[in-house]
Amino acid sequence: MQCTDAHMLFTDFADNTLSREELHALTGHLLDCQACAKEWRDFQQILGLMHNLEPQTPPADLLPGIHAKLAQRGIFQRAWALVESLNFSLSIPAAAAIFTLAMLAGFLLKTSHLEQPGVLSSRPARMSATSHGELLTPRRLPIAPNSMFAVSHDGGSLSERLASLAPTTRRPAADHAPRLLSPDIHVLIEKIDHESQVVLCREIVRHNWQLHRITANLFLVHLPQAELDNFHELLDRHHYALAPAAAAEARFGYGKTVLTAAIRFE
Amino acid sequence: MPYQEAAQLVRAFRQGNQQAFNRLVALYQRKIYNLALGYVKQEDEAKDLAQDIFVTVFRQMDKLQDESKFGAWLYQLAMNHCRNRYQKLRRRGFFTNQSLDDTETGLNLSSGATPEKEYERQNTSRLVREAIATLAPAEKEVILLRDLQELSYEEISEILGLPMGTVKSKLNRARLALKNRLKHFL
Repeated sequence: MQCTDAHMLFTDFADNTLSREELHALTGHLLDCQACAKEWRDFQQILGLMHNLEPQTPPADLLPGIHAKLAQRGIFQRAWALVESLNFSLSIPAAAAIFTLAMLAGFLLKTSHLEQPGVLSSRPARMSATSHGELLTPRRLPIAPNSMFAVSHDGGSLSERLASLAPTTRRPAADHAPRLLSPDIHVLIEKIDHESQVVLCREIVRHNWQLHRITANLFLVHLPQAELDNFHELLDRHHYALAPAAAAEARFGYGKTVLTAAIRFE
Repeated sequence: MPYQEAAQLVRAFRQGNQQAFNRLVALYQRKIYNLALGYVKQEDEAKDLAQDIFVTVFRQMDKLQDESKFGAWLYQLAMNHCRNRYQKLRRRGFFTNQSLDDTETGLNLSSGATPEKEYERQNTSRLVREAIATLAPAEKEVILLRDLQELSYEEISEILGLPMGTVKSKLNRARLALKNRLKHFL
């Protein structure tokens, strides 16, 4: 028996479904061929690893989410049925003309000054979300490496070094628009190895907080304000500083739904 | 899998019992969620995918011919959804943007395990899942259905529409490919 023929029989061997002749030939080959014997042991080990994988528990909101989607699609279906019931009779050229006009209007609106802030906002929903503290990641400005104007959580020497950066990066209070795009909390974690960074990130994900990697050492976390306590608890495992100092309190950002924290590892 | 219970629930649902649908979801959600997770790796995406699968089940239940075949029908629907979503996400670069570090859940300590041992165990699981995820789609499917979902060859053959011999040979090739991917770990 050739080695490749032997490998093709591994699954049947594992399932114990080989014919007597095949079994005899394979076991004989495995006794003679060290390499195939090792392949077979590895094969069995892989099977063991796969069969020991524990299934993940589905999230608790799976079923409510299904009902929400069904309800949403039901609305669309009813709306579509209504449109169909109106029984438009439109010729193809007329439909094409309407489509062209709609596209043109959309283009003009997009490129016109009406889009500029302060004149007419075409995205009320986005602005509303922002005003409630739900910051929009794609529009977020990148955070400069020197933007960690932190004061110490515990008043140690680290705080003085961090505080010295404050005047260069602090934004004026009146500068409202950029402030909306800034994280609510800045965290600097020092003396942390890669492994601990990974563990921390996993903990963040496990809490179902959104985690965005900006650079290798800079991450953004969106978390519900109500879970700020848990966030502090995670950070307490590390040597860290955060700003503003009030962010060390569980009630920080009270009134906002979601807080955004920028975490820098050093 | 309790096929008879599923068939009864399908019947009840077709007669207008909405609660029967909830029971069907409860019966299969673990399997379907894990199948989706095997495809897309990311938990939120897997949840969304599993929800879409059940929404389709709800809407297309009248197309199911034989109530006793609900399981196979559900898996066929699920596989189609998974394939489509996988293609869509791949085109968007979803998988290339993920690193090994940011897709996994945290360290969940089960009772009695030391953190080190638990970390090692979860790390092993992570590696195996990652290796499965890197298999070619056809190989991944057969591994997910046989080794993770623990379906019989007959069931897999019905779901994939392939002869049983083909299923077995595909499975053997997939397992050998997985072994090669994990050989440095063994």
